[in-house]
Amino acid sequence: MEKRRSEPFEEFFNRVKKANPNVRIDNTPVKSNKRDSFAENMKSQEQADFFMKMLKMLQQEQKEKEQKEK
Amino acid sequence: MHVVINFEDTYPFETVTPDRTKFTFNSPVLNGGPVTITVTIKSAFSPFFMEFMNLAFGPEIEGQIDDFAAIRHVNLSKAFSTVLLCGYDYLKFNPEAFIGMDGSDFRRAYFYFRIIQRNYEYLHQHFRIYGAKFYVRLVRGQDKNDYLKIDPEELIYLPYQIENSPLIDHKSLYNYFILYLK
Repeated sequence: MEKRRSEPFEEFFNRVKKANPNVRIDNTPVKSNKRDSFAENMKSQEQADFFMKMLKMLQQEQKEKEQKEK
Repeated sequence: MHVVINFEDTYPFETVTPDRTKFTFNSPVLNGGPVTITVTIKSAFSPFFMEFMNLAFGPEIEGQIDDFAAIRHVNLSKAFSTVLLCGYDYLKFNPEAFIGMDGSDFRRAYFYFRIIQRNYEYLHQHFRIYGAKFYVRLVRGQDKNDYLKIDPEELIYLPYQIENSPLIDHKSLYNYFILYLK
């Protein structure tokens, strides 16, 4: 598949400057969201393991249910 | 609340980053003065998606985005159009990437779902959009030892193409929205 063109920064910046000539470049990092996002939780291996365990358990339950119905 | 998305009617950005992962803009609010809204597109992780980019927005308080803040925007359509424009600009810089938007609670997830549905034609000119029933609901206020009372589908990442049809029942509510560049 053909790789799509990435919009160069100059092109982007010229466009946003048209809307606001005073637009600034600000690289100040932002911390995570105020709430504990699931994404942050998922960074913990313990959490990831917990969800994978639950997933397997539910898949097993589903399989057993399907077999009973047969 | 009828939100009309239009990338030609947005608030100008106050700040941007060269990698287009952080934007700020001012949105006038009903109780006076503009509020500076920060939009970030940050790397996140899930065992199913692995590394992906999550879009979050809200006022920045002590260097953190408060995405639970209740902001009474004067022009909700313009504010949401600006937020989505940030995602669009990010994807134009990273055309192979995809971004995710997480409704931070059921009310917001439903609200985003309605925005996507109401602006179906317009948004599909720019994005391929999927909704995911996601295990994310589990991690909200749930202790890991609690008994799980959930739809098994929510434990599996299942992307669905969002159609312009009415919401049939509660189960069809997606709580995570995935946007690819068209």
